[in-house]
Amino acid sequence: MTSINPDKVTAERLAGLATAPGVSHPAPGTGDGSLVDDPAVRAPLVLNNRSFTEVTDIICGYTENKPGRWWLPVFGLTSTLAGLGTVMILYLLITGVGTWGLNNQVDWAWDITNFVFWIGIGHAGTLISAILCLFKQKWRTAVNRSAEAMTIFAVICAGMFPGIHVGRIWMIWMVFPIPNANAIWPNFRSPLLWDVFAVSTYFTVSLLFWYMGMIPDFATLRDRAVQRLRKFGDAAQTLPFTSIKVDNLRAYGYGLLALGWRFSSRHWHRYEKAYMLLAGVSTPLVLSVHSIVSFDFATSVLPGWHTTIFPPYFVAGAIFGGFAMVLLLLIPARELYPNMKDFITLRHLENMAKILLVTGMMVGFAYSMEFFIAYYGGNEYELYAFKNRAGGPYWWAYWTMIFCNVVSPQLFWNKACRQSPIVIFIVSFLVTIGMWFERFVIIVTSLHRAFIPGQWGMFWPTAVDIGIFIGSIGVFLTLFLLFMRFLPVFAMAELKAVLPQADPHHEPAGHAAGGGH
Amino acid sequence: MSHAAATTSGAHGLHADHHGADLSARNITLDPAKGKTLSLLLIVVGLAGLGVTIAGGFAVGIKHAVGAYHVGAMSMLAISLGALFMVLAFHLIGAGWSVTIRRQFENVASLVWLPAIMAAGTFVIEVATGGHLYSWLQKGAQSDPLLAAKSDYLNPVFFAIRAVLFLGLWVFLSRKMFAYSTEQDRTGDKWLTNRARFTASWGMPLLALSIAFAAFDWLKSIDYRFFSTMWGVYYFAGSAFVSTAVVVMLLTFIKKQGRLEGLVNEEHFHDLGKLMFAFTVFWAYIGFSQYFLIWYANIPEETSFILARKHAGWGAWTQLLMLGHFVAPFYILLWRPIRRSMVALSLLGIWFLFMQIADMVWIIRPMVYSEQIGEYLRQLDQGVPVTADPIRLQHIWLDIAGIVGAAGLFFGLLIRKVYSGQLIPTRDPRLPEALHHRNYV
Amino acid sequence: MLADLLARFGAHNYMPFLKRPPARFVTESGAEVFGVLAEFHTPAAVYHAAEKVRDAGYTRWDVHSPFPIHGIEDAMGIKRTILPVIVACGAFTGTGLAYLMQWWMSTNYRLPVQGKPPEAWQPYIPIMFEISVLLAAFTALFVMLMLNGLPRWHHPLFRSDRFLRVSQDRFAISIEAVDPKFDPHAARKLLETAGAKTVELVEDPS
Repeated sequence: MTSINPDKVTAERLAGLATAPGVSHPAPGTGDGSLVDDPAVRAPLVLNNRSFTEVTDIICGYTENKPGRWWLPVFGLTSTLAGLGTVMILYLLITGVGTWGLNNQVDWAWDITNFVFWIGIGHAGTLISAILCLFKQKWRTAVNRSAEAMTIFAVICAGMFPGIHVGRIWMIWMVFPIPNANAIWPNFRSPLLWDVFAVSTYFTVSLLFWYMGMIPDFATLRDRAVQRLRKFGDAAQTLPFTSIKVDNLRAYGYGLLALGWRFSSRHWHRYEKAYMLLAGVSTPLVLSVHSIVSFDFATSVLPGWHTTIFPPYFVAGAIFGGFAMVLLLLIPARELYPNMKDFITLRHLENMAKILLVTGMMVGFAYSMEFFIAYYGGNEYELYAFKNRAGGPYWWAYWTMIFCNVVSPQLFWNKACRQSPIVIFIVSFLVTIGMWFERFVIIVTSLHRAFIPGQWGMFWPTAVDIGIFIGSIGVFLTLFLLFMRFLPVFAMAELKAVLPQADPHHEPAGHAAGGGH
Repeated sequence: MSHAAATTSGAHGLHADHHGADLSARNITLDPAKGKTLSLLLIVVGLAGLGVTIAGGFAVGIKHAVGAYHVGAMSMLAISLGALFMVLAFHLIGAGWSVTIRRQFENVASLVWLPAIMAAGTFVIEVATGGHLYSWLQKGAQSDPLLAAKSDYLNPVFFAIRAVLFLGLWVFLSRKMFAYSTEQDRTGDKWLTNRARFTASWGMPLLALSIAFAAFDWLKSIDYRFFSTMWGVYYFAGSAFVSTAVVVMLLTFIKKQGRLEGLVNEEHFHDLGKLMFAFTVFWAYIGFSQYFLIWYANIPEETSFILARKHAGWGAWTQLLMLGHFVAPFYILLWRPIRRSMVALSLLGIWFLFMQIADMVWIIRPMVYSEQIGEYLRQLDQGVPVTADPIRLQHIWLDIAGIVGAAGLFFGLLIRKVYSGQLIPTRDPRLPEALHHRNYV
Repeated sequence: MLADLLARFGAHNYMPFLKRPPARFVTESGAEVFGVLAEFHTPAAVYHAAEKVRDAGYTRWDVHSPFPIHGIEDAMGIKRTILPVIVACGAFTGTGLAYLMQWWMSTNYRLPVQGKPPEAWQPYIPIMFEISVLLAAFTALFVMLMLNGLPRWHHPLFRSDRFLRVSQDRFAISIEAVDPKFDPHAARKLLETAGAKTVELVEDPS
């Protein structure tokens, strides 16, 4: 599999073609061995008794070896979509926002829906990394790296939309407090300005968090490249048609990113503290960012927008949609990559399915609370806004949202459903659709019926609207594919740390009880 | 090529032995005889408080007495509901570290019947006396279109039905969780843990709904014109906050008597301290969001709630809550040594208890003199010189009596409960995890 | 003079043109000795060896492991880091700066909109919070790196082929020659008795 490990048996094992020797078949009824129901036993986080060496070889193998045959065609497709989106954005910038379906009544629609949708997806990444880290949920190690990557890419997609929806994008710098000739400053009482600070802070902090987690893994990739260079010398693999050694590129590229990390315990001590602190500040950051996004709506006096539960409700929705997206990405990935099922076990999927169920009920709670208070508040406009959502011209959007977000996750009450990757995948897909519609319902149905019937109108998307949204999906997937190809897909160091043999008080192999301390 | 050979089983199990942890009766039980005196004392104090409250009802006015009594009941209810939430949460997420402290949460939760009945009792008194605090019960109140619009929900019959449902649910859940845990002590059946998890899984959503609607009914309906979708979450945030604090105090009280040696240590207090910190911040987040959105949108039917608590002498109380419920605990709990010290944490716990009561006072007490506050605000609004009496804490002894009454009864029974059984679940399958629990970073 | 001062703080490690302090130990070929490196195969082995090195009184030494070993701080006698305090300072600086910025900009350019006074503190809260988090995050990462003496592109230990495996599946203890107690033979002996699989001398030729 890797040039470090040329022997055939090992290579096959790492490629997922053969299992590790001495692995007994998992007990019946425990799925792949991770679905242990016994409360006295903690499910294994990594299957097949992988050793440190194997974990390293498998995970580094994802970036060091050629990807599967599927990678290039899929990459071609997603980058084409991204290109299509770019063309649409250029067309929009050249022609103006009139190319969108917005109008005087519904003056915020598709673009802000997409913005909130993407930023919400981004939140699960930080949630998995930060909150699960604070809660010491060890299972996070299997998914945190890809979830963090997803955060970055989703925030990139999200950040695009407010930029282009201002219409005159060359004036966008005015949202920042930059000294200028007119001596004017931004309006700090505007929620949209808070958004600027919140989203840019969120992007920066998520990037730092992601990067910091990868420093040791970059160092591993660097050291492996150096090892190969020392071993093979002039015989090392080169880039096609050149004499540039691939491992030289790796040694320099990953080496620069690794900042000279040398796995010192004195460094680890501060590193873990810093990581914990970053997790500690990221957790309220996630809450604040989506709360501030919700302030965009809730600070207004528009029926359907002004409701005090919006901040936590938006946060719960973000977590919900984000976990669905993580599952949408990882369930296919664990089929496509060799041995990934050892790290993302059925138990991991089940845990995430449970989180979908919980957060799905949280958004259900918020939906019903909104409806209830619309009645209880005794304000006829507020009540009308909600009746209009459920029974007005956009009833189909509302009921799609209810079905996808509240009804479909209820499948996970059933054990067989929440342990089946296919079912989880389908529900996650529905949830992703539902969460998009949630934002659509909030934004469009509240705006399209203003206080005076003369202001009533409808919104229908144009091809440019749709094209830009599909383009953003393309950008997201393209970036994610590049991530899977070139960066460490799992937090290797952390994954090794949760292996049973990583415990310094671990009894050596053969001890019946293992060593769960 | 691999240095670490495979272990034989796929899953790595937990050690069956307890590594010398002292599970003898001396370490995990208290002397019931000693508890009796203390608990009796507290109950007597509580009954005396209630007696004074009733006397105050005749001397000062029934509205004030009911308000004082309701503050006490709702504060104690928050403690129990928060503990019930924590018990369910521990089971749902399969927490290992919390096994040795879970019994105290179960003890607090199992007393939920007392404050729940007391709080529901407020409604009985109100119905019997024709509505003072719950002004929507008054004759002729229905002529207010704002009340008429919600009379399908806010009427005595439906209110009573809901109260019975909440009470039934809470009592059932808390007793069930307590029973699972104590049955496991007797039988050692590890599968009870899974059954408790199942109960928690359906109990949690129902608990969330019931807390929210109980908060609407028993707190928000006092000012029936006001509404906020966040209200239920706000009450929940306060209850999680105070229940952790109470359990910290309980554990310190027990440890000071030389019990739970080696079973509950500073690592557990450290995590409880983190929880206290988290709930302080969570309360501030919810409270600020609610206040902020009302402040920003500036809609009269919502701002009346804030205005009544900003003027007429209540502004200082609001600031006390901001500082005492959030700012001060936030800065104090940032300190790691404080989070690891059981004495410091339990002193803060006492403060948290006061703050939870202060929060309930903040919600309920201004409505006791709502007419005067209304007049005060009207004059303020019209710009005429304010002649209305600014609201001070009149007859504060009555408020103290009401709170002492509920707190005395609650803590009296709690002490008896704590003394009467084991202090930790000894045969929980995850006990070893709790014994080995350590915060590395 | 200045070079000596800089060398005391290890500046020559980052600026190769600076004169190095004289070597305490050199090999027969004249190369400076950086220290000794011992290799271990399991976390348990390196953990117990670390306790022995700690008890032997060394100060300039380190344990290298592919992941943070829990509890190794105790085995090595590492004190808790000051990092949280610095991060808290960073965060509160952010809070204050954000308040000042918003207050100054709002009162300097008074937009009479929304019926809310420019001085109102409520709308400042979101940005105050965001800037606090931003500065806290920057402080956490960069001060952590600074305290660790990183980034540092090269280190004598990277010369060792065995050391490169530490990033994957091996564990190591290095004792540096700058340690006042250091003696190549004693250090080697100590590590060998502590259960090292191999012990090697790491050179640092100029």
